[in-house]
Amino acid sequence: MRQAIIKTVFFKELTELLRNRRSLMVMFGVPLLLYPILTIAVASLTQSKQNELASRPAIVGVVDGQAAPQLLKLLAGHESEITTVETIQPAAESALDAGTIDALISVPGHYESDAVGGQEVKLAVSVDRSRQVTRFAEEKLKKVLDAYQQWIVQQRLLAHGLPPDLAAVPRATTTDLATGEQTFGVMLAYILPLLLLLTGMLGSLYPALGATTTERELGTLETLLVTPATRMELLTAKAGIVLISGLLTALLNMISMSLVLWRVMAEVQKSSTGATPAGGFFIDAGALALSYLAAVPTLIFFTAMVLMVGLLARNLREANAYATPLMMVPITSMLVGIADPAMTPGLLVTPVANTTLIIRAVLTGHATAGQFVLAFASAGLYAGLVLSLAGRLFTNEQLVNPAWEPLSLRGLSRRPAKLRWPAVDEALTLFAVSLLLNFYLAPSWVHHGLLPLLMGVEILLIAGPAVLFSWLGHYPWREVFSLRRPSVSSIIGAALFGVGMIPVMNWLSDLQHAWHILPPNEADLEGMSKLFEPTLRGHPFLSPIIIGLLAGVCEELLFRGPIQAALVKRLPIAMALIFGGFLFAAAHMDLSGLPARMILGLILGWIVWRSGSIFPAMVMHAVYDGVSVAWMAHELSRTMDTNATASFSTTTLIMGAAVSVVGWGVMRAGRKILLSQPQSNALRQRATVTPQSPAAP
Amino acid sequence: MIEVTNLRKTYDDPDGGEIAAVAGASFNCRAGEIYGLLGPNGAGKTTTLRCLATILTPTGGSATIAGCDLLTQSQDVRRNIGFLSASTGLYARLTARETLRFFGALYGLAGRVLEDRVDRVIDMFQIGEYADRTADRLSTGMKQRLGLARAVVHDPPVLILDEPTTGLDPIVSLAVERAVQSLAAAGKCVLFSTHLLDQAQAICHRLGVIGRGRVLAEGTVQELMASTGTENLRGAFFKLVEDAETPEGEHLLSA
Repeated sequence: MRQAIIKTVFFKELTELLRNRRSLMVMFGVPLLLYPILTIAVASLTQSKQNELASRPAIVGVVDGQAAPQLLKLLAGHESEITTVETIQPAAESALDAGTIDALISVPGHYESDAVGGQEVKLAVSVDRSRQVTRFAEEKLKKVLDAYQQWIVQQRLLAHGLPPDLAAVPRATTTDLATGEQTFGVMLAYILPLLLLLTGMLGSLYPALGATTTERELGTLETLLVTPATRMELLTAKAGIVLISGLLTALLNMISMSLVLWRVMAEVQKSSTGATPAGGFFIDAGALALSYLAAVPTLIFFTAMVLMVGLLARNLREANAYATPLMMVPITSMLVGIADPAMTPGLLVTPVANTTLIIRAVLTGHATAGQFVLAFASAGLYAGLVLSLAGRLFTNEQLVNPAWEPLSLRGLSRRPAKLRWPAVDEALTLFAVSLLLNFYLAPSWVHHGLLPLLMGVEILLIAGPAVLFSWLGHYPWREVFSLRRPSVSSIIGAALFGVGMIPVMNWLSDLQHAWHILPPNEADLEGMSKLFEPTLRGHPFLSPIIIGLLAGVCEELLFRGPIQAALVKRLPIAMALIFGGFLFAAAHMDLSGLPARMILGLILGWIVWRSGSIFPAMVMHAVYDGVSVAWMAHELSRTMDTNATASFSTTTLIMGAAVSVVGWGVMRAGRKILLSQPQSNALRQRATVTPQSPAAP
Repeated sequence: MIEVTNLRKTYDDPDGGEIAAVAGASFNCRAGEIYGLLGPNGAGKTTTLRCLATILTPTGGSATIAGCDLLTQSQDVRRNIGFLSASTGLYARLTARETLRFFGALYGLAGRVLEDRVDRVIDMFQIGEYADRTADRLSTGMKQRLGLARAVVHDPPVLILDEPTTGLDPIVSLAVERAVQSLAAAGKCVLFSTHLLDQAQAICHRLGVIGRGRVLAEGTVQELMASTGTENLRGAFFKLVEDAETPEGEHLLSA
């Protein structure tokens, strides 16, 4: 892509944006003028009204007050801030209804003497809470009634010859450990995620529609497309201006809203306690910056969605119709905020929820680096996928066709006519779909036991999506899944390599833990033990076979199938295999096991790429998992320790390494045998769509 | 300059099968010539021009523009063409000068060369008076002149004009026609699509009558009249188009 072209288109879009008053109003007018003025005006008005109501004496009507002389005395006291009105019953209720009195106390006959005498009698207090003043009147009245009740108890004690101090209630003190930044952060956390996402979308709406729908409507898009600028250059410049508009609008709104909220709260605190604002709330600029950073991928996600709306709509009216429901989506962040769920890994990879939760955690000072990275990375993945989708729309030649209907139901039901290779964005979507399905469906299957759970997960949630995507995308099955006949020696070699790698990987994990790199989570280990133990005890021979087969077949179908095929096609081979290994490891959601699984994923990917067949990798994977589980079952029966983990002696380690080397050698020999066999005509024909020709060993 | 051979463009029909918008069009256009593509609505003129302008990818056939292959050298093709349709393709919030600078920069012009070229087309199309006015404040005639200036700002040897006078009054149309003639006189190869017979007869050196996605006949007005045995262009046009609709014509076209 040529920077000069991108720069030219970008500055053209910028010039148009800056000359568009509607966009400027949304981007700068709302956060810099409307927010501060409206919020401060509303807050000042509310505060002034509350001060007025608080300082005004409450007017309390008393019916039959002579039955409680002490109460009348307390009500009349200067510190009570109450004005008493003696009244009679029907008139008193009318007065309360009309608002001439704020509260009404009905005193039963002989109330005070009966109460002091120890009888159970009740005062009736009536208020009208639909009126604003009532809250203040109730607060004042409550203080008087508390003092009156205290007095009655003291009188009872005196009557029994006991000291009145005996009525003193033991008091507790509460210390709030939250810092000023945290206290303010909690309040900010309720609205900041929604505000960021909504204003970001609003800020990007007009630039997005201007850069896409308006261009198409005016015919300028056609003019642009006949210039030497490529579609990706044009889209990069256009997406750049749309993203910057969205990000800038969100940033300005965040700063403006934080300052206004801080100012308002400081004012509220000052007027309510008389203290200076310095004793109260603080904005933690670092937390605010980190919150914004956490929101950036989701902001990109939404601004890219807005860009897609612009690309899909045939005119501005249609664009507005599409954009309106889209604007409602960020409200889900408010729902997440209200529900305030625990930060599980599943929620941290769920779109919108991940950003909302991590912002709340950052603002309240409870976020960990791992959680932040997980939420950021997953949101980044979704943003990338939506941007990629926008790219697909923009590069479609039908873009300038007014009759184009990319969203028609008829179009959705049609599969591509020709066989096609999976794209990287499709592979990442497949990965995300499988991951999210696992997070949301697998927990509800746990109570069925380990084997049914694994069958459901591996077949339906791992292999299932891979097969479904391949069918929908019309991928060439044999090439994408590397369904080629392996040689016997490559299968034997893979099995040996799988067995030999167990002590080697175990040693590497021990080394990792000894150096305190990504230590294992004890709670997770315990959970796994509880899940595995009953099954391993009940079926010590069958379980390893089933587990090994399920993992070997299903996980390989997904990770060494469409995912690896797409990556290998678009990326340099080393990068493709490393990234594929990372995705394989990340899908297990076990930070401690990430390095070991990444190495395994890398090796499995390499085997498939070198051999051109998925079957040796399936065998190695199945043997590795199966034997590991068998070893776990053996240890369990030997030690009766539910937390038993496989540990190997140095001899076993050396033997494992030796077996791995032998297995590797046999596999390589098997590759040679396979290559030396003549290929069928069908294989040769199909090989034309294979992204990489199997390299010679 | 433009050589089109058996060009085809098909779309997937939502009801199944394919729709052939262009079904094997062949023609050529030389430097200094205005070649008119004449045809009724839906004949395939716009699709043909969009294919030649690289907006759409042809399904079959071949074409070269200024010696560059349409399919394999599409970037070079774009550098060598100027494109204008009925919609002027102007940005409402950019001034005439900014528009010309923007498109010039997209064609790789920069610095003094760009400024000189912008000044030159401003003089050529007499838009100096309103060069610093935004496009939304220009009249329809001014816009179409600016549109033409925009199409030639990079001095392309080939111009592809898709019904550029649609919606214009006769006076503005005449101004556009004169501008096109002066560009052809300056050696440009102009491919001009229209459905206005008078206009085609007035400015085109040669005509290709297009119907059902194919060039039914081509030549000068006299050649067309002679080949169809008619007395004027109107008669020749209707005969060619109507013949194409008959079963015999359809058979000949599909052969």
